[in-house]
Amino acid sequence: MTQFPMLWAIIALPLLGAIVNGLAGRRLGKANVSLIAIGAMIGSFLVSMVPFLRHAIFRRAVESQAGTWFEALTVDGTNALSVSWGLRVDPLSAVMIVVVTGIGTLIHVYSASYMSHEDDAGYARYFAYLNLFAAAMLTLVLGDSLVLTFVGWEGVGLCSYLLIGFWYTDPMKAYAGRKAFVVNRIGDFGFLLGVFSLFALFGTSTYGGLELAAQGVGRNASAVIAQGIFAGWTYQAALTFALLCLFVGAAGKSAQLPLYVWLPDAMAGPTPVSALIHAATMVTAGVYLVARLSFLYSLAPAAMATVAFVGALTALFAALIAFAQNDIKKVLAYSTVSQLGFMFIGVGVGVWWAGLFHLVTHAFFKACLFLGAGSVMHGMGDETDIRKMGGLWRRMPHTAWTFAIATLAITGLVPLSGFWSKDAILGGALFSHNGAWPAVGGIAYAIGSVAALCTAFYMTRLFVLTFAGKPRTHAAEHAHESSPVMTVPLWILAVGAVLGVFINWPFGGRGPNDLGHRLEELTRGVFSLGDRHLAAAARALGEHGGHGAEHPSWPYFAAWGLAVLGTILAWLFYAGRLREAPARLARAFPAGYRFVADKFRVDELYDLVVVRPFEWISYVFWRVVDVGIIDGLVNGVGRGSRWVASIVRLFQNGDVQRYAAIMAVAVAIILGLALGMGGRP
Amino acid sequence: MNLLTAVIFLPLAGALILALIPRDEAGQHRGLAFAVSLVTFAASLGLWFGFDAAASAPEFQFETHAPWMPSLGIGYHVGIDGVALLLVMLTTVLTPVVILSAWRAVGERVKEFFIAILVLETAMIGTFAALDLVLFYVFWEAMLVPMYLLIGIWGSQNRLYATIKFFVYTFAASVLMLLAILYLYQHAETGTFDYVQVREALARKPLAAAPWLFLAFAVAFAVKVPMFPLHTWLPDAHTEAPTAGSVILAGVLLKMGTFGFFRYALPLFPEAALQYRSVIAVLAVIGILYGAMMSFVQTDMKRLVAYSSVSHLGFVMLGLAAMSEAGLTGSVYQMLNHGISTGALFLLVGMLYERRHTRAIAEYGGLAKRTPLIAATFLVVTLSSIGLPGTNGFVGEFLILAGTWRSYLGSSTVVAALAAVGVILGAVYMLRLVERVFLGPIRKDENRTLPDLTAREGFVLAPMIALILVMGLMPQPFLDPMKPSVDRLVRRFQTAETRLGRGPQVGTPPLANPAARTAAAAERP
Repeated sequence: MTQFPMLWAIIALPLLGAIVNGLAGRRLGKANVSLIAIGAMIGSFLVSMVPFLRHAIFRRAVESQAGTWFEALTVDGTNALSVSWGLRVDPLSAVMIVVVTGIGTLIHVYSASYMSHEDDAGYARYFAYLNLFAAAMLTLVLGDSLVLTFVGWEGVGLCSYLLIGFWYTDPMKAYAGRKAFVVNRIGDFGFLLGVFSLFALFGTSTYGGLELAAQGVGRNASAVIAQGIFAGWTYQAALTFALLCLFVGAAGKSAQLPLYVWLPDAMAGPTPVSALIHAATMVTAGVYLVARLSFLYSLAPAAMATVAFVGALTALFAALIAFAQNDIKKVLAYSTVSQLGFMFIGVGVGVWWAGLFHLVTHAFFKACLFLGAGSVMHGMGDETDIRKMGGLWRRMPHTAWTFAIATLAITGLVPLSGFWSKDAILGGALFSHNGAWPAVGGIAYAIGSVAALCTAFYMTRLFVLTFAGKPRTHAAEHAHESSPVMTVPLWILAVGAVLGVFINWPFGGRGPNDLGHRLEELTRGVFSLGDRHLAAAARALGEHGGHGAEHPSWPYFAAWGLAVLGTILAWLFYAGRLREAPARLARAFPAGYRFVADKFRVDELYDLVVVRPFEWISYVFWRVVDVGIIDGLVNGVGRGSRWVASIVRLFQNGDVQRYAAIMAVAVAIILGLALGMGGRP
Repeated sequence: MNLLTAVIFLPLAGALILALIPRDEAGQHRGLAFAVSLVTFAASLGLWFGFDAAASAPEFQFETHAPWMPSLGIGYHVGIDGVALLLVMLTTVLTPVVILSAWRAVGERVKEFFIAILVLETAMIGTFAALDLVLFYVFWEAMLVPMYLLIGIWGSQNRLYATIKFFVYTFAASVLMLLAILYLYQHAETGTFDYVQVREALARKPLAAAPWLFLAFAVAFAVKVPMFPLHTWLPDAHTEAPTAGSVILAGVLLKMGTFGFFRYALPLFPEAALQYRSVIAVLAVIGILYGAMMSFVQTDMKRLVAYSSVSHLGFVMLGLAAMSEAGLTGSVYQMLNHGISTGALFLLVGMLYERRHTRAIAEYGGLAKRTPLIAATFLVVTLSSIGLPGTNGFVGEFLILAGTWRSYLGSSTVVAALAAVGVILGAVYMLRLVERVFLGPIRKDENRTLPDLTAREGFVLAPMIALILVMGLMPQPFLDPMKPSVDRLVRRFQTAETRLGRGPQVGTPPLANPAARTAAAAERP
């Protein structure tokens, strides 16, 4: 691989921006702050393009090594644990850095206007955090080992914490930030155990080393391990354990069941933050992780089945909650959780590239939707309740048009990007093979299709209630369009949401020389080992599978039909003939409606089952064990010695020298006695 | 004169000079004490740069051996290995910081205060450097007196109870250690208290009473660490001590316990240590989780930080019980980390206390608006305390947990996983503290006029922040010196494990397959 030290600049530029703005930003003035922050992002984007284009044209991976971070050697000088600084760009990370820096730059620009009401200190703090986030996210993506990915992983968690709680004087927002951090830490706990397991199995956490190890395991995954921590397990079982641990981490970061609860609350942060961190980039890190380890996941069918099934459940579960939310950002938040579920279906059934494809298209249309929501809030005086909107189409045409395009894209209508990526996932799921749970592909397809129908419904509902019809409040009547600094990024993202199809052009042959299937071709090298493992497993099952096989096209039509159906239904329900239906339904099933509107009361459940008991047990331990039992004993001894002390009190008068003298004498006496007893000179 | 001896006794000499200066010249006392601590630090830099961390270098360097009471076999024998070097450095860095932090906080009996601090520094360095059991014990007990005075004279309301509790707890336990030392003198058949000779004698011919001796040492050290359930002196002592006392207590004195395990209890009685390691590991994990739960329910800032020490030191003890190279390395590293991050937390809490004269968390809230610099510093230190990558805490915790996971400790994966829960809980209680003190609206009027960090306070905190980042990003210069000591300890255990003949019990278990091992080896440049 080619050494390419320039890679460090991709991370260093935003990091430098964060340091400068963090330390001196409040004295620089807003113009300079945004100049530095946006400049750093543009620089990072341009540098990122270099390795990306090298890939697109020459198909050559690049890396940069910078020595050991920390290590522990055994007494024989072999490696007990070693972590090095190293970056690596292969097609997977190349796509990711371009998305992160590209969309990141647009959102920095948008923020320059959106955050202009902040005072100088707040403005500088905001951009410092945002730049720091970009640096951490790029570390996550570029790091060449699980440990370096973990550095970025916790780094983006920190920035998320800081940005959710950006307006920290509001206790609810501060709490939402902490909640995000703690739930993510639960995921990180799993991540760590996964890393430890892989260290104990293969002695490395670098992706290159793990890929070599996976190759070694490849053929005989069912062999029993003879030595070490996992002695007695099969390789497959040990890998399944490690990968499930890592998936706990992925579920935390990417807001999957049961760890999704932090993401809706994370909407407390400024809206551009929701767009960048909680939609386009950070929350996709879990998908990236699974795709990154495709060569290992493909050896552990049970782990893959879990990923796909959890993804499918989350996709539907979150979509159902989104039905009954009235906060524009909350709807989008649950929609994000749901869409991330789709991505996990993709990587869980082995169509890695499709998961990545949906990650990219989602980054465009969801960032566009969130920024659109921000634009609406900007124009409506920070109003987020869609029941108080309506008719904004006339007043905010740019916002409405871009929002409409992005809505159609996420709905999955031909030919917008969401259709291709979502249906690549669902089609892949239907035709996948899983040795541990053969039905999982079909189940994921079925649940995913229902979730896609729901998506079409709630997104159309959101659009109709916000933009169509007549204004329902005074504020909606007097809403104003945002400045070009905000609408231009919207248009760029909307165009991206349309052009997304070109990322993976679906038409044309499949030969090595055609231009079709760019993304699939580009990333084939990264996923080739995983694909080979899957193909081998499918052969072992006596089926023909994997890529290259011809699949019928009816699932595509079915998915498209569902999208249309959902859209039409929502239109009828909220703008058309059946306008009375939603209210009547809510009246007919009041308990059910409340249950959905209250997000299935999962937060309340966690509070009851985890948070309160923990608090209670801690308190009881403190009062009973610490203060009652242990200190009770100690004080008992103390009371006894006080009686003794009342006799020897004469020696104590607060004089330092006397204490020292007493101690010296005492030591001398004890020494003398002991030596005397021992009979030594 | 030997450089190490100079470093040990420079503070004491300073204290003697301080004693000659008239009582009412408070400024001179402050200035001189600060100067002495800086000179000591400068001298200790000589140790840092002069230390040879190569595997072939002698175990103890800067060694001096002079007869003291030759008829009893007691000598003035000092020398440092890499671990002691790092802890001596920690002491010489923290002392000037502490003196600077007490500039305004201590207004009465200034002279005695600084004398006590300097005497304490000599005792601490001496404890790390001693290579004679009696000399070690003398320094060990000598630490108690100034600490006792620091809490008892300059402490807050409930200080008398706290001092007596502190003194009784530690003194009772160290008497056990003294008895064990005397027993060793009689039965190891060396006719000397010299640590190196006793250790060699025990390695040649272990004593039948080794388990008891190990327990005697272990209890003395476990109180100091403190390990559950011998920890209840700590919250009281920390809470009542003045800021300077808390910082030294948390920063250095607690390390005496873990250092004692590393230097005395484990290498002197390796068989017994192998026998009791599971007990230590279980108590360590209980300490990690229990300490975190205690922190979670505290309403007093200092008490919260004090209980967090129980949790953090649990990690250190776990790394020692794991007896793998990574675990031991991480354990020593975490000793330094805890000294820095918890020391810094106590400094920050002390600064808040100086402004508001209360430790009750409920009295604060929303401070970030008024004191952004304090808030930012507090956050950085918090991140170090909860082990965020990029800070020193991560390196230590990662080495300990990974080293425990991959070790011969019984049920090592379960133990490591339970300990890793402590990583979650750390975030829970620390971030809640940050939230309740610094975030939200300002509710109390007294908090509306608080001044932010002064220049002096900035100088107090700057070295801590710098160390947090440097040790987080470039840990290797700190890991290298401890490597030979860790290896020697592992070898000592390996000899014992051969003697026990129950298969491998220490070190790093092999990887799953040889093919993967070559892959990992190929990556190393």
